[in-house]
Amino acid sequence: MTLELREMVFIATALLTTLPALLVVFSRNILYSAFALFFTFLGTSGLYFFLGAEFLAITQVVVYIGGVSVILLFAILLTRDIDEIKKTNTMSLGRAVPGGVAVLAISAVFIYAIGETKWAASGDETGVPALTVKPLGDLLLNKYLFAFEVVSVLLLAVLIGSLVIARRSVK
Amino acid sequence: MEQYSAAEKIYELFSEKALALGIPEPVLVIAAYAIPCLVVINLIQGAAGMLTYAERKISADIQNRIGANRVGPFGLIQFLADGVKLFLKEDIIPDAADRKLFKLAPYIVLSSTVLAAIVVPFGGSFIVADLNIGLIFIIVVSSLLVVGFLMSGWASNNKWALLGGIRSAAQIISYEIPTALSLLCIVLITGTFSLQETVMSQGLWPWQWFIFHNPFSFVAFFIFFVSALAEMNRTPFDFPEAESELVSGYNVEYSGMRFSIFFIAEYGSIFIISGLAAAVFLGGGNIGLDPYESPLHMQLLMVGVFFAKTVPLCLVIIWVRWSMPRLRIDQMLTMCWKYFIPIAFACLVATAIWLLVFNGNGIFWRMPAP
Amino acid sequence: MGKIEEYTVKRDADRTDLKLNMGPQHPATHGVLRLELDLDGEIIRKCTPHIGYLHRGTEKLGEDRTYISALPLTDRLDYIASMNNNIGYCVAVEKLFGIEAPERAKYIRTMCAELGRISSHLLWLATHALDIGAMTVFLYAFRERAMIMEMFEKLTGARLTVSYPRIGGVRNDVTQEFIDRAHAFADEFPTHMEEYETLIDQNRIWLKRTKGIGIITADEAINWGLSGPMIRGSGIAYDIRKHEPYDAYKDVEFEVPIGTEGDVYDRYRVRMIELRQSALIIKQCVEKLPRGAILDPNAPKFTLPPKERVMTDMESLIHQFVLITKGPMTAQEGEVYVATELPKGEFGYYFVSDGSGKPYRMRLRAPSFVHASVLPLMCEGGLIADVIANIGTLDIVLGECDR
Repeated sequence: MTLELREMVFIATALLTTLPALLVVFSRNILYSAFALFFTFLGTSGLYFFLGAEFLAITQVVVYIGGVSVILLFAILLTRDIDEIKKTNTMSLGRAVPGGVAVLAISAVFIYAIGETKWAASGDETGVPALTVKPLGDLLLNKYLFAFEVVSVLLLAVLIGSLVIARRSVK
Repeated sequence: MEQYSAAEKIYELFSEKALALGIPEPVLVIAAYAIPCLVVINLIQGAAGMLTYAERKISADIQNRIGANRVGPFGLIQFLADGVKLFLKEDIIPDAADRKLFKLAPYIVLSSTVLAAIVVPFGGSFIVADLNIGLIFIIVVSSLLVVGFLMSGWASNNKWALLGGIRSAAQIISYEIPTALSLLCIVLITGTFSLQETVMSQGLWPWQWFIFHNPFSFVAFFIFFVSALAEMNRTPFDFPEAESELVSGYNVEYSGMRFSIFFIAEYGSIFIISGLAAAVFLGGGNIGLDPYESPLHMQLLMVGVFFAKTVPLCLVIIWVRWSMPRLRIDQMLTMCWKYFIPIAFACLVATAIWLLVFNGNGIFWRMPAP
Repeated sequence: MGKIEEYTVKRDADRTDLKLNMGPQHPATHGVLRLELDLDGEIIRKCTPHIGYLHRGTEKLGEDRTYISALPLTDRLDYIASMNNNIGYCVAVEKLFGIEAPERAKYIRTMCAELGRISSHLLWLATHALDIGAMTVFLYAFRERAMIMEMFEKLTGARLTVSYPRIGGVRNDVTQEFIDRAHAFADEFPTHMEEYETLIDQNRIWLKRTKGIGIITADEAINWGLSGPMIRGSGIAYDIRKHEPYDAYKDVEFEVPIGTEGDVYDRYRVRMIELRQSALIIKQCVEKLPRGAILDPNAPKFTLPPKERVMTDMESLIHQFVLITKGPMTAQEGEVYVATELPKGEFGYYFVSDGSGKPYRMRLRAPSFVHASVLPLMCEGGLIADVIANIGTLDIVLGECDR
């Protein structure tokens, strides 16, 4: 298969990831943001597929679309304090400054990580382990068990977060 | 292990001839990918169309009616006439609806169904892509439906649609768990998520099927089937549509082709879920031969075997719809969380113990020599 | 776009509920009932029935028509059981005029009333099951209902709005064919009943949807003024056919089924047994059907003379002229209330007469009206799906409710 096609698919997937991500941030309608987030997650999963990390890709969909995204949508639809859905995701200085700082910090970490990683050359398959579910399971339940358990707390956090947003106001 | 993909196979088959004819390679590559896509999309549509016909005819038989009998012999091409009618209908978008999301929602629902069809082994080498995560893939992409339902429910700006959307989300999220758990019982036996391998490790005869592997996989099959009914929003779990309660649920404001896309997705998923049940529990298209190495006529026979198992399951789903009343939403959720999930978990653990005790063998099924 | 904003789904900050308008165009509200539901999730916090979408002023219309010409109005009240409405009207007017139908007419009326009851209960069963999701029962029940419709068509010329009984009797005599068909129908009807019951009677889902839903205790049933299967489902054996028999009900034997819990399932059982009892009554009527006249000897005062005699005979011409313009003039001054047992419940006709050919006041006691008012009691605290089951079990017809 040609390289051009792979690149085209990659660019399309990358756009599917980044464009909705921009919409998440800049849309003034929080529901649009939530649905855009769904596409961002889908695009990210596509990128994983593209890298040959299929298990990771599908886990991404399970956790972020099946879990986070849907519960987020649920929370928004069940929230009672929304009067005007079109002005729910407004920008303000109080939000922009801490948000900007966080973005800068995370970008710095990512740039550092990208610079430090020894990337395999394209077409060089030797460094990439053949992926099957079995070794992955072995790794997760032996070497990385603690990290695995910590990550599972994420779902709990999502659950509690949505409850906090959607819960009834105490009278 | 190299993963099988129909696109690559098509590419291999035709690349030499095509290049000799002077067709540029990018065109060939795109065509190699486009052909399986088109086949799958049309298969889903065709299956959905035939299923609507089957539903009309079977419901008519159950209810002492005649059913569709005007268009074509026995009304066989009624579904084409319906399709043409829906195409020509005015596409109404309510003024107060959220136009962008309203237009987008049906496609998300349909794409989730079509995506699921990618990994279904239709017998022989007829599978679009034999992903080594096939089983989870199916479960996961069918959960994308939720987003489509929520989107259509909200975008319609209709309280009935919103209730329908929320109902469907609650239902699909809940029933995903028993569906996945019951499939995991089989994954424990085979040690793979690949659907083609799952089919290949079964056999032609019923005692080689995984449904009869051990008592727990037998239970798992029924849990899978009933939860799948719930995931597809079919009676007795058709709450999101419940025409007598929610009028028509999430698709109440839709009309014309957008409406029919929801229905193609619904009937397509009936076909896919039946196919999945047939492949995982009932041996799929396995007739005891290697699907990739057999001659073409044997491969077609495998497809026949696969359909011979899938179609009766589809008919059961239709039959259930026309004989059962509808549960209530809280009863349905109770059933899921209090009965299905614990039973499915018990099946999973019991299957694991069974495999430990009997060294991977079933009642009749024997672990293949490594 | 400013105007559209008003219609969007708005959530009030201090209200926790969603207002949902169920009906008047809703497939499960059986006509044009409108319910205003305050929802908390799917739980009903408040349920307010709104009626009147089918109001046609039948009571007032009755004041403007002679006793004879008001009869077709009653067809349109409970249009599911128009035969029973007609019969109730005739019984009431007969009492006002102090006449009585001959025995044969009484038996024919009883037979027709029970056929009407079966037809009405079948429609109830069909729609009730359809609402709960059992679609097949709907078509099974309609098959038998069509048989009754055809019988009515043979007898009266109309399928739905029959206008068959007359003050002092019935319009025309039954044919042997009709009697045979009625008897055959009553014979085979229980086997059809078994077909419905196979589908739903012991179905786990049906039981889950109907048992313990919409409970009305015996006290509540009396206080709300319920009648018919609604009160019998709550365990009170009140049936006008037994307590104040009219027509031939004192001569036929039948049981009055009662429920114990007062829930949707009990009312379902009560109506199912009533269906079987009605078939029994039809059989008895056919077997006991006496010979004789079908109109009271005094009936010429209430019925128009035949057309050819009007054209040739002076007496008849005058008679017809008076009847058309002034109505039957022999009513006593005073008032009369007659209740009959309709499929839906106690349907009462109350006439105030000033001696003229038209009632001074015609008042209708409609069971559907009374039953619709009990809906909040049954629904509040339940789920949307229970509202559907409750509307189904009420068996209301809005034509009668709104009058």
